[in-house]
Amino acid sequence: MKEQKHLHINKLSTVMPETSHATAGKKLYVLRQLLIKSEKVTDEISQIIAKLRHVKVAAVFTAVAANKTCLKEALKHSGDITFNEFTTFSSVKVLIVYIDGLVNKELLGRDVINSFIMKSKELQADALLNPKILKNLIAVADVTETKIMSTVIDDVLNGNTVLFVDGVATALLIDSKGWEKRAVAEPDTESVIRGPREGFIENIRTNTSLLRRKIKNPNLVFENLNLGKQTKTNVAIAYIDGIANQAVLGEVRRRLNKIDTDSILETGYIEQFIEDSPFSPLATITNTQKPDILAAKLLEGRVGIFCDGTPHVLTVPHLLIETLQTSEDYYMRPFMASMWRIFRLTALFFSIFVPGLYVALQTYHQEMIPTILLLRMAGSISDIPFPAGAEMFIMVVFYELLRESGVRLPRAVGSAISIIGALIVGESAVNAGLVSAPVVIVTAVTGVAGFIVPALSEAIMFFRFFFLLAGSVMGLYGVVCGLFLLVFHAFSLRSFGVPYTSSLAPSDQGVLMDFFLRFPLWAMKKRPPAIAKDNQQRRGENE
Amino acid sequence: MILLKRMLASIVILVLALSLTGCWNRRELNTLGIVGLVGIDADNAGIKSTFEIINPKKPSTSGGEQAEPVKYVQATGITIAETFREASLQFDRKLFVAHAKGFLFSEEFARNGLAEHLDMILRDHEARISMHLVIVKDVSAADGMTVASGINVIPSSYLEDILRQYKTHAKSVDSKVIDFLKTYNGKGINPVVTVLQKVKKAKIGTGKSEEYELSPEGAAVFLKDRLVGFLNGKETRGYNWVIGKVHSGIVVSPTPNSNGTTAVEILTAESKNEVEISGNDIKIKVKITMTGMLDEETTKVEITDPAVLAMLEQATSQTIKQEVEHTLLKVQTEYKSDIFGFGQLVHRKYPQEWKNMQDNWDELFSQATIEVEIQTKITKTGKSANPVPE
Repeated sequence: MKEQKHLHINKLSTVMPETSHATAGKKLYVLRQLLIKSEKVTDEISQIIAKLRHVKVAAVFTAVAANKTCLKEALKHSGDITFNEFTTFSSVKVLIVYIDGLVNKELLGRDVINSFIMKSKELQADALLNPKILKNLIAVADVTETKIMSTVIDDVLNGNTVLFVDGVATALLIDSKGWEKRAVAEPDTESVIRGPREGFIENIRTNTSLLRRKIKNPNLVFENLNLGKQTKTNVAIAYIDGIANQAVLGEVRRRLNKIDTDSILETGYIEQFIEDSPFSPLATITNTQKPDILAAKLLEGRVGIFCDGTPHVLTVPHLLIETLQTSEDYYMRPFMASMWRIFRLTALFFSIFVPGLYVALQTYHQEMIPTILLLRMAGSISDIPFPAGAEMFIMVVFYELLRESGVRLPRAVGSAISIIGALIVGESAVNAGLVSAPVVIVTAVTGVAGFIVPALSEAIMFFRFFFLLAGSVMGLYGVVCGLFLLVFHAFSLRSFGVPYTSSLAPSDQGVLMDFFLRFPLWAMKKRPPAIAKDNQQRRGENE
Repeated sequence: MILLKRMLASIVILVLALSLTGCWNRRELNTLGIVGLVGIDADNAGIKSTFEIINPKKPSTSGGEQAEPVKYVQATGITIAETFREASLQFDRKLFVAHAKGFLFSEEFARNGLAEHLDMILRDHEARISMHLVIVKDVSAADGMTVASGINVIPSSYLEDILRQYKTHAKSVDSKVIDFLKTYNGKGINPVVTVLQKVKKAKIGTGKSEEYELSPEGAAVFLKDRLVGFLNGKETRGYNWVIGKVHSGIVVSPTPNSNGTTAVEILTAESKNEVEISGNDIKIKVKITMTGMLDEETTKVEITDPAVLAMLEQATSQTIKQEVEHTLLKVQTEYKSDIFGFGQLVHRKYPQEWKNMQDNWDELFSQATIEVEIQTKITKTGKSANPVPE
């Protein structure tokens, strides 16, 4: 044995047993095993991550590194996600994760990182293992603890910052939202002469705060929801507890919870999923961009639906009368407001019926037109090459084209369109004898009147063509048949259980105070009973 | 499925309902000839109709010659309806009669009875029974309907406007087809129809002007549906007094105790007629109450004095009474036709006796005694108190 020892004296392995072939082989084997094991761990981790996407209750890991890997996997190594690691004076690893652009970095640096490091200086190392103490190290108002990974991911995506401390299996969610948003401004489509100019913006929190500022009442409730599997859009139901109709509210909740879609980009998405009659030209849900209008509607007992990313807030139930109301009706004195109501009704009538009636009278019922008017009309259409119905149809379509192009065009080109529209259609077409002057006048009146009731503009366009067709095919008989269909249809509609035409039928004298005429505010003691079923008294004693 | 069924059902119902509607037809406005007036004369073939077709004004292009405002087309036939279609042989547009203002019949035609020719107006869906019914005196209907010497260049509009003037003078009547149809066979009343005559126009100034103009003065008296004679302007106002259709006008009477003249403008006039039958004696009472305004006084009287005013009222009443009595006498003796509708009063008051009377009422009417009572009240004396000093 000794000889042997001497024999091997020069061998490296005798001096350093680690270098021996067998040991090296063993170590390599162990390393290989480790590699296999680590691969298995990676596999496990990715399995965990895969699970995370389906199961909500995957827990936060104790080790920072594990959390980091897990989040990186979960968020697909996306470029805008920032992982920021730092160590405290006591060498404890801390990781914060946020989405760049969604957080207020100034707040993050000053009130989270700096505050955490400075405050933890005086603490014992083991104190950093207690989540309750950790929470106090952050100088931000809204910090919550969670142990669930999916909550962490949702919060990060919502603009919050998440903070992990090595050795602690709890994540701290810090409300640090701060992103670019539009200023609160007057909405273009709902501008007013009298009344507040502020309008909703794309941020749901700003929007709810605008409403809260109008109604400082503990009964104003916002119920938060998340809709859309992909977009996870924040949606809020707003109502005033005690005024809102419980049945309507329940129906809203039920329908919202039933929405099964991958994306909600605007309240229009929600509207289409929850409306009563998707095939009706009459909308049973309306929207507004103005907090004062929304406040008034909630105070009548309606329910509002906010959606993050849009200034349009839905209100339900939507009744026919709402299309004729404007916020200024209530800010003006009742005389003017009542007159405007009547004008608006007239405008509604004009914009729907006049083209149809004109064609019907001109081609079927010449005897109904006063003689002098008939002679005028006959004079101006004597050389027109088209039948009256076709002529009217061409003009109404042309008007719609002009209007649509006016909306879509860049503002700088808009004036060119109006010149072309006014000159070519208004002047040249008449002079060239292609269309008659009365048809141009009818189209113009119809178009102008259509803008007076903007809430119905889609329905108006549809019914205008409908009655034009009815009038040109069957004369007044057709118009009357169409009217019957329209009335039957409108009266059969319901919006979240409330009849669309309520206050006309089923009628209620209290509500008629706010239909054709707008009675003084002091006379309208009751809320619309169809909507605010349970609490109708607006002011004064119970009768 | 239910929705589909319902939609299908409503479409079927609406399509079926289409077959229930009456006569309607799609016609473009520029295929119609808008008839303004229809003039009907007797002809060898039966009836000769003259149609006034209005030429619709085109939107005024600067300058350019103005097209003729109306066109005329004439057609003959056995009935009026036939002539409407015959006219299309000579005219490029289908005659559209719904806007016609009036039917004009010649005097000769009216004397032979009008009722049979009005059937078409009552029956046809286009013709309106609210059109004016006019008898053209002295000249043919075709001649009478061509004149438009007023502001309005379209004769039919001119005619309509001038007929409407009866309210300012009460010396004509404004009769519609419907009025005639209601009275021509109604027991106890006979039709009175507007008369139109072509009169020579006074030449004023040196400017060009039409030679003739139309005058609706007077009225045509019918017995049943046959024309029996005419009333002149003053007599027509007498008739209007009795039936309470005087809306306005001037009553001129001599001022008592002087050689001046008093003109009173009629503000309101009402009539109340009564009949009384005792045995074979029929007594008719006509009571007319009139309020007026002193419009002209040519001699110096103390108008502020109530007694003087009462005197003027008396004189006015007297004039009206003469007018009314003259008309009543002429109708009773000459035409023997109860155009005032006294027979209807009898019918209402004495339904039993009426049964025996209705067949020869017009005869009985001509022998009835009529009492006229006029009450005049001058309520205003105008802007000046006393007449202009001499």
